[in-house]
Amino acid sequence: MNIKLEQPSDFPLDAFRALLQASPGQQEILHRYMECSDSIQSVVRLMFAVLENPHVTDEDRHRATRTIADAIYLKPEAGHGSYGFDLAKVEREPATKHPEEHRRPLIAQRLDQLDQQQATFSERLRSILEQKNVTQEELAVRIECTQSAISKMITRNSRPHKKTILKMAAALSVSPTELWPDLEVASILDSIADFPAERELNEQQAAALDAALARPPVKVVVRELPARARK
Amino acid sequence: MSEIEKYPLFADEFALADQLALADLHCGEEPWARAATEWIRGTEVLDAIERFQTSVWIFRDVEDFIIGFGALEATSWKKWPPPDGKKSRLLYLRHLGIGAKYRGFPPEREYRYSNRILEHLIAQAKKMAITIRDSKPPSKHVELLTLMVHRDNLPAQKLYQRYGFELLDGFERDDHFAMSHRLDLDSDSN
Repeated sequence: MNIKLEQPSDFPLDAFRALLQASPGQQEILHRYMECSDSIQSVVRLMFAVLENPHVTDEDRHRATRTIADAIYLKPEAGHGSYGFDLAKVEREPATKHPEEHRRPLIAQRLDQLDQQQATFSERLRSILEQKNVTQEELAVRIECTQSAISKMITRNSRPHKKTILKMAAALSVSPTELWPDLEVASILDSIADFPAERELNEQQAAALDAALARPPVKVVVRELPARARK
Repeated sequence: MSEIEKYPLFADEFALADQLALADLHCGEEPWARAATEWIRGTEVLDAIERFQTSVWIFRDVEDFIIGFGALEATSWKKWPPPDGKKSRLLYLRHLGIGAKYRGFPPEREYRYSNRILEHLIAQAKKMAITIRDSKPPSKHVELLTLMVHRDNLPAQKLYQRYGFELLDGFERDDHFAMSHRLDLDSDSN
């Protein structure tokens, strides 16, 4: 690409201004995007278009966000992903800088909980690899990622995605919850959260709703509880 | 003294100040019970209130101990008729959690905490459905109070069935299936 910068008007002032205004976390995301290959950048742009489209569902937006998260943490030179991403810096900021101060301790508490889970995962993965006499390189081959990605997860520099945990569990012939104990809990919370957010109905669902509506109302006595003045 | 007088139960809308007391609430060791505990004690409850206008109630006894909680909301618009409509909303009981030590208590079913909490939530759902029907369309299916229940959570399934919830086909996800209860909006039985 032949770029000339001869006149002040050649300088992309607006873009530069936007970059300067970005938070450190946002700058890191942009930096990673710029490091990606053309094909991966193209995927990110496509997913960005999904996010910008006012007609897509929340579920689609969620998928697009996850695809971007996957894509921008790819290593273009290796041709595949790190299968985990380091959000530590981005995550810790709200715990100290969230505009609503009262939320900061709760966010910090939640992050501590995640850290604890990550530490448990790291210990368990290390121990299972040892018991089964599997090297990091061998595991990397089995789940199609790099040894350095495995190493980062073990040293807690990178948090695994759920799909990576599932792949690892299959590759090591263990239950996913042996690696990440609360995986089941996370999956339950996902299932519960997805139901109200989805907008697409298939024919079977639409028919089931109509059938439920065609049934007579449930005649059941319900007692509303009183509120109580707080102590 | 009746059981209700003996074991009074109060319902207050969730407030941030509750987070401290909620640290003592444990809904049990089953995965779904741990999920409920994590949801109410973590930041997810705050996200739900902010993003989905979820209404959350905290249930306490006379000593101010937290017995459980419940979370109710209207779903996003569902495209009805599919695939391009935009006319349907449901009510959704996102969570109902009861402290493990209060399960099956008091022994007499009519006064049991789980029943009284569910009854309160159904009563609130009726109010919510009427408000949406009258002033916040679309409301095609808003008379349906829905929920997701883990396939292995048999006590919860029995509780919901006692209150007229039936399976809702086609909405199964992972280890959960959906149930619905058609609200009786024309009676004032609460």
